[in-house]
Amino acid sequence: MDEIDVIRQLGVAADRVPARSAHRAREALRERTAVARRPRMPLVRRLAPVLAPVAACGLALVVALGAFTGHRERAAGTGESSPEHAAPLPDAHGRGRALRPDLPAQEPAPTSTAPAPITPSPPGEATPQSSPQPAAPQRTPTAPAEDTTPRPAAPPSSSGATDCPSAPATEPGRQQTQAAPQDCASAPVSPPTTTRPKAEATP
Amino acid sequence: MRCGCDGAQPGCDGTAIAASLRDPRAFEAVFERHFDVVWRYACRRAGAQVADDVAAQTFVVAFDRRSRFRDGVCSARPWLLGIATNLLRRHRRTELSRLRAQAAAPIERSPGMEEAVDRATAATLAPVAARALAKLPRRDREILALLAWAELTYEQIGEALGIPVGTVRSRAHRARARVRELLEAEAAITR
Repeated sequence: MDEIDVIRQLGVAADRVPARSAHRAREALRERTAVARRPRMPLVRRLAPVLAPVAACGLALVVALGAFTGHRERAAGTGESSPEHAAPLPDAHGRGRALRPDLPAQEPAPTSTAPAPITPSPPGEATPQSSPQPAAPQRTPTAPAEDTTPRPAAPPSSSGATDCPSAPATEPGRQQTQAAPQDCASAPVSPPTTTRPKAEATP
Repeated sequence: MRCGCDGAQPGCDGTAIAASLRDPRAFEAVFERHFDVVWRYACRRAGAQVADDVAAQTFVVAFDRRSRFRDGVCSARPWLLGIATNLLRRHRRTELSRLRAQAAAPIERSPGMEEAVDRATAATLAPVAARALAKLPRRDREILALLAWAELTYEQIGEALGIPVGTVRSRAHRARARVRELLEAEAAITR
């Protein structure tokens, strides 16, 4: 007697498979074959419920980005500058000018560079004002005595700050004490356009 | 997919499986041919209740994987029994408890048993064989079960389990020696 023969005697050897078991298994297999017989939808149609929202979101993002970029390009083309790209320009003292949204935009070029070529200031008319104030030499040919006379200081208002080129816009309090009050007050009286022909006429 | 007999044999599984790729209903021929063998094998190992589920699931899994059925093979029995063996690994505890119960209880013999072995000897040795099977490693026990209950050859066992034939032979030899050793010791005690 072999050990395999002994193992074969183990357990109940069913003569017939129960019909219920065979029926259940057959039904399970038929369900699976019925599923396999159905034509499968193409991949794009099966993924359509997922792909449609993703495509819509992507399209909306592209449109939003395009609109934003076009807006910025239009702003750059008309000369406007977006506030995040506006760099603070240095003032006459070389200090960085802080941004003041309440003040109008000021262009320092005509006030600081216009008097430069017409500064035939005589050495005898040296005034106690500091040298970086360019408004003083402009009036020297016409009325040199008036520069020495003290004048009432300009009111520390926003308009006075814009008229005076040497006054820092961010420090109105220091403007009253440090800057020369004569220059700030006389700047609107003698604009550089009126003094230029005189300086050229009388060398 | 092409079968080894090229459809000449009447019960060629390779042809039916190849046809089921076009018409899934052709797979039912494979079911009718092999369901009994698969169910009995599962019933011997884990009982009738587990065998119902395992046998039904075996054919569903085989249908899903029918495109991987090897070319040039006529019989799908080793392939199906391999799937059933893999499914029975989930019921390892059931199988072990069943073997322990058989080791403790007297054997229920089939009607033709008296022809092969003495009644008293078989009643004595069967629980010992069950105890020896329960002590074997799972891989060796699977090989002995396929040898004894599914009546597969070594080559078919290798095909079913996906291992080389040499490995099947060495494992079967080791497992049989172990069972024989226990049976001889039990026989010496009874004498």
